[in-house]
Amino acid sequence: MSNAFARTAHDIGSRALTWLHTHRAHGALSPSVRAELGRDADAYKTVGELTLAASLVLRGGVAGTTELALARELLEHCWHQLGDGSLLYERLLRHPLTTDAIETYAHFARSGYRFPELERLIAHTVALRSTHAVEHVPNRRLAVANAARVIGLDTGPGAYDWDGLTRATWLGATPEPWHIDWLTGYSVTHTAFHLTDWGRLPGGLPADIATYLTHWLPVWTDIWAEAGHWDLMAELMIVGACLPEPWTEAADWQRLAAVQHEDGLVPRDAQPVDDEDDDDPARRFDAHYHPTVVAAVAATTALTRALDAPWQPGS
Amino acid sequence: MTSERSRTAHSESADQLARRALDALRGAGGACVAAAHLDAVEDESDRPVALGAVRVLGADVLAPYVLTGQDIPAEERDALELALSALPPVRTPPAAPPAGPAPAWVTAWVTWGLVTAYTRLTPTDAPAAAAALPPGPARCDDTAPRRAAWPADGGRTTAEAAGTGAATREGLQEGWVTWSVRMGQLASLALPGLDGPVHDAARSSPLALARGATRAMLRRDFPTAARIARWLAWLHAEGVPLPLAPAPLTDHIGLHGGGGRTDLDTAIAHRLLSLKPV
Amino acid sequence: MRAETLQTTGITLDEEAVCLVVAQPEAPLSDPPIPMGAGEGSGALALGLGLLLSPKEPKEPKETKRR
Repeated sequence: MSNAFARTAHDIGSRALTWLHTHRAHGALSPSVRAELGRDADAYKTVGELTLAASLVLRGGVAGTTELALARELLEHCWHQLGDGSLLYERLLRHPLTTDAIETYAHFARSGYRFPELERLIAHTVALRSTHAVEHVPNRRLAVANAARVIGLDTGPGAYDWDGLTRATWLGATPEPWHIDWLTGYSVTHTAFHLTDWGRLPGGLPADIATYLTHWLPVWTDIWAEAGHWDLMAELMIVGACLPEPWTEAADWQRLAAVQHEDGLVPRDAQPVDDEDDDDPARRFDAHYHPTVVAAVAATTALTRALDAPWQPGS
Repeated sequence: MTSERSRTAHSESADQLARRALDALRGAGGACVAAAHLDAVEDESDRPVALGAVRVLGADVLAPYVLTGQDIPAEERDALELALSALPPVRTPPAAPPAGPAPAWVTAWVTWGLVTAYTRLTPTDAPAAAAALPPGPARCDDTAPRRAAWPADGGRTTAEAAGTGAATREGLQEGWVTWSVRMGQLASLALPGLDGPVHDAARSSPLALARGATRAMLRRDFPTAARIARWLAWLHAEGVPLPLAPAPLTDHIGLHGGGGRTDLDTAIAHRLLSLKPV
Repeated sequence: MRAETLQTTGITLDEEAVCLVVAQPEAPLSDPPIPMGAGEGSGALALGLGLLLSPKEPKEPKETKRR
C-alpha cells in the first residue's frame, strides 16, 4: 500500500471511529438488562462490535493520540454497559451453550480488561466436551476457539482442534469460487478473521487457504463493490489484510472514502441512507453502525500490515 | 455509422448460425452450417447480415468439422468462400488495446481464426484473402489489478512499436477484468488447430482467465462466462494447470444457457474438456 | 454504413456492425448476489445472537420524505 492510500485508509478509519464514539449512546443497553437480554439483544450486539473495533485500534499500534483516546473511551463505555463484565458472567452462567459472552470478553481481555470470575467460568466451560460439541456453524466455533486463544485458555483438555474446525468451514474446503453467495461471503470473512485473530496471525491461515484467498478475493471484492454492498466489500478488504502477503487495491479505498459520509458514517450499501434517519439519529446509528465498525477495522488492520507495525499487547 | 437495428440483426443472425453449428456438431442437423444459414435467407437484402454472421462467429462456424472430422460439403465450401471473399483487403491490423481500438483488433483476430481454420481444413484450396497476423495481446499475470492502474512512479510515455505511431504509456498495467472479457470475445480462437500470440497469452494467464470466468458467473453474465470458460477448457486440453476445475464450471454454465452462441461455446468447451491433455 | 463492396459478389457487409457484435461488451449488472428478500437475509438472524460482526438484515427501503 503506497503512502497515498495509507493516508486514505487512515482518514477513513479515524472518521469512522469518531462517528462510533460520538454516537455510542444510541447503542446503549437498558439499565435493567438481564441475562436473557430480550429487547436488549440488538444493543448487546452493538456493544460487542464497538468493543471489537476499539480493541483492534488499540492493538494495531498505528493510531494517533486522538484515536487512542477515543478507542479507550469506547472500551470504558462498553465495559460499563456490560456491568464491568458482570453481565457477561451472568449470561454465560445462565446460558452456558451460547458463545457471545466468551467472544465479547475476548475483545476486552485483548485490551487489558479482566474479570477473574468470568475467566474461571470460561475456563470451566471450554473444558467441557459439550462446549466443543454444541452444533454451532463452523465459523462460529472458530470464533470461540479464537476467543479462548486470546484469553489464554486454548490449552489443556479444552484446547481446540484448529485443523478440524477449519476444514469444517466452507472456506476450509477451498470450493468452487463461482458458487459463493452473500451469506457464504460472510462465513468466509469470519473464518479468516478468527483463524488469524483479525490479522494478527497471518500464518493462522493454512497455506492452501491463503493461496485460495489470494486467487479469489479480488473477484469477490469486485462483485460486491459493483453491487454496492459496501459492508461485505469492506469485510473482504479486512481479509486481504489478514493474508501472509497482504492484498489491497487502491480503488477499494477510494471507493470507501467516497461513500463514507462527512461525519464518518459508512453506509451498508448503495441505497440512500434514509432521509428520515437525519431526524432519528438512533435509527441511523442502528442501521449503519455495523459497516462503520467494519470500515474502522479495515483501516486499522490494513495500516498495521502496511506499516509492519508491531502488535501492541493489552494495555 | 451503423445502426442499432443492424447490430441487433447481426447479433440475432449470429445466434441462429450458432444453433446450426451446434446441431451439426451434435450430428443432429444437416452437414452444412453456413450454406444452410444463407439458404434460409428469404429476403435478398438480408444476405449481407447472414454473411456478417459468419464473420461474427469466425472459426466457430467450422467447429463441427474441426471437432468431429466430418468433411465439409461442397456447398458449405462455396458458402464459406463467399464469406471469406467478403473480407476487406489486407491492411495494417490495428494495434492491440489499450493502444488501439478494441473492436477492430478483436475482429481482426476473429477473422484470422476463420481464415486459418479454413485453410487447415482445406489445404488444397487457396483462401480468398490471407489474414494478416494482428499484434498479440499482452499477458495478464497474477499480480495484475482488477482494472488498469498506473505504477507508483506514474509510468513513462514511449512510442508504440507496432507502427501506428500511437503513443502508449509504458508500465500501464491492464486489469484482469478488462483483459479477461476481451479474451472472451476471442473465444472462437479456442479451437484445436489454432495457435499463436493469443494462445500464448492464454497459456501465460490462467489465473486471470479463471478470475474473469468466476466474476462473470457471479454477475450472472453467462454468455461472457461461457466464452472465458472456453479458454479454460482449451488450457485444460493443453495440459496447463488451472486454479479451478473447468468441467463443473462448464456444466453450470450449461444449466443456465444464454442463447445459441452460449450453447455452442459450452458444447465446444465440453469437447475440449474430453480431449486428453497433451 | 461503412461498406466493403466486392467486385466479385456485389455484397456489401456492414463491417462496423460486425465489429461491434464481435466485441460486444459484458452484460450490465442486473442480478447481483445480494439478499433481495426475507428468505436469504433471515439466515443472518437465524444464526443467532452470537454472530459478532454479522450484517444487519437489510430493511425494506422506507418512503423518503419529499423535500
